[in-house]
Amino acid sequence: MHTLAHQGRGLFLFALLLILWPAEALAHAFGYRFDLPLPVWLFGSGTTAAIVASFLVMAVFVRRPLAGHDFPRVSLLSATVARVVRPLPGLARLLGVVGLVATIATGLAGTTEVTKNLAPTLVWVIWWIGFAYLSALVGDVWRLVEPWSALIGLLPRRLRQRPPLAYPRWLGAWPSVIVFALFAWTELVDPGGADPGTVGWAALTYTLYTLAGMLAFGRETWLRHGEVFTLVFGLFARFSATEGRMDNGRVVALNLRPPSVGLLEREPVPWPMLCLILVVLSTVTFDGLMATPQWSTGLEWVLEQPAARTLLIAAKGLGIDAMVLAETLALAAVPVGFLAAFVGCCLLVGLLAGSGHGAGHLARAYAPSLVPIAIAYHLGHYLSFLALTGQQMIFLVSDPFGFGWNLFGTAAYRVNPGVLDAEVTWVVAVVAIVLGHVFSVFVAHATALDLDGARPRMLLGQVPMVAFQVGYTLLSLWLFAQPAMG
Amino acid sequence: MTHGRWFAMVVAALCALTGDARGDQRVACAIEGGVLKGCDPVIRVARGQRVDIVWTSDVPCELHLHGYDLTVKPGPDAPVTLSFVAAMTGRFPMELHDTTKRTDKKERGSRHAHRPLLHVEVLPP
Repeated sequence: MHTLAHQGRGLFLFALLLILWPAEALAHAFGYRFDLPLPVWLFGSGTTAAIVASFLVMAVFVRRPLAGHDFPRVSLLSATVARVVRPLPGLARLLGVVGLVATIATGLAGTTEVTKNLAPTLVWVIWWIGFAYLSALVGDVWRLVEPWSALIGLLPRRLRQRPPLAYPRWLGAWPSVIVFALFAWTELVDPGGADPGTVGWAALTYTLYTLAGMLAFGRETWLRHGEVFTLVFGLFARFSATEGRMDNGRVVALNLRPPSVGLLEREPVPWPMLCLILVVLSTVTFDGLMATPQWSTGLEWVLEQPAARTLLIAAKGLGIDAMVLAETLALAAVPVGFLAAFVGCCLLVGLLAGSGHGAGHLARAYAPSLVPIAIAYHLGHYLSFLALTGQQMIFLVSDPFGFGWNLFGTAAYRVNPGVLDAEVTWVVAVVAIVLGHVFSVFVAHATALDLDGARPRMLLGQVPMVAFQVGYTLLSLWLFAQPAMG
Repeated sequence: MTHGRWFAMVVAALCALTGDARGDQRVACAIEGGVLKGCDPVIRVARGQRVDIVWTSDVPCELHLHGYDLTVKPGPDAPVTLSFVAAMTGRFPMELHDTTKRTDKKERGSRHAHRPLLHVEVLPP
């Protein structure tokens, strides 16, 4: 039950969030190359394809509306597969714990040079970007790798048997929203965000925070509300074509399903999840926005306004860096704007469809349908970054602390910035965006059927939603077509 | 037209053609007061072309081309040429490091706040 008090509290908390987006800053800290802007003909083709695809999907729904959640699932867990898969959860956990320990150790004790220390590359490239890819394209791998559950498991049984505190229902996933906002700020605005020290301390702090949460409220409860990366990677994994279930560390179910059907929910997501979804979407999409020349121009204009100047002078007096503050505030406006626009769109949907549901309810129901477009932009935008900066792992595994070791003989490897030609990244970007758009329209339609399927004007109500998604897709394509300002 | 003129035209045409086939791009850029002058902030070349960027600067400084990882140090004495073959496609920032000026504020962190002086875009042919 969401009373007015709940919603008010939720919105207030959300408005307090300072949420920021990657400003190409990571790419710059590692410094290789940027993607070429999309040529006009590809931008045009992508736009046309997305719009045509929207109409095709709508037409299919008119002719043969697909029943809400009865999508085919094929079990992959044959006897052979089960045998192959059995050691994987254990291996994954081991990998997760080793990765966490290595991050903390190298971050705190290793060299302070970003490109010579394992921690920044392991965390920002392999883990943050890599797991986003894995989650969307393979499945919820993070659930297997996540190290804090394993660490809790090492503690004596007595300590974790009965969690002393009951998790307050009203709190929901709000702590995760706040933590993700801080994480995004570190990734994007914090000038030292890529520093090994920052990464090491953040990993250590987050570990202590998570272990405390798990001990206080119970492991499963904490994973559902407080472990932010389980929520975020889990969100991406809902798009993927696989689903699985574990019981006592063993894989008991592994199914293949059509992509994106995992985003269909019987219930609208709670308010904190809606906010988390929009913050994640904003983080992903506006990474590109911050790199556009238009953003710099816009920011310069804002900074010239008298009100802004007064604020910045005051901040400087307090020792706060003016640029950091300006970026923080400027970017905080973006997800707020996104939320406002999306709720507005849902208001229109409700009105046109004659729905009995309010805008807030509809926003929470339709938010997952935006995820495929965000995933598509993420995949296209970070592909080169992953392929280039990811190569650093080759020499970093031999010399993780930057002390001059050569454990595996690969310490002399030099990153080849020539991998992945521009044409490849262009095609991947456009194909991904168009496909993402198709899946988004599909999820929105299936959601509409669930919510207002019985109503005759259901399809009319879909028009604002499709328009919003077309707008989001066009924004993503437009971002690919802008020259990246280093 | 006389045979001589025909011949000259053919030679001129061939020179133009071989110029393209050799694929040279020569640009002259200057830095004055830390600001780029004399050329576009984006230099577009085709993959495989040889690129020569001739730099002059009013103060000694250091220029770094990312990706290709090349450094030149132009100064007021003589122009310096940055030469390379554009084998990789992409958009590569070229950054200015002023070696005469000390950074007066503490520059915490690896994310140096320099704006690139220009970008070199290597396009697929």
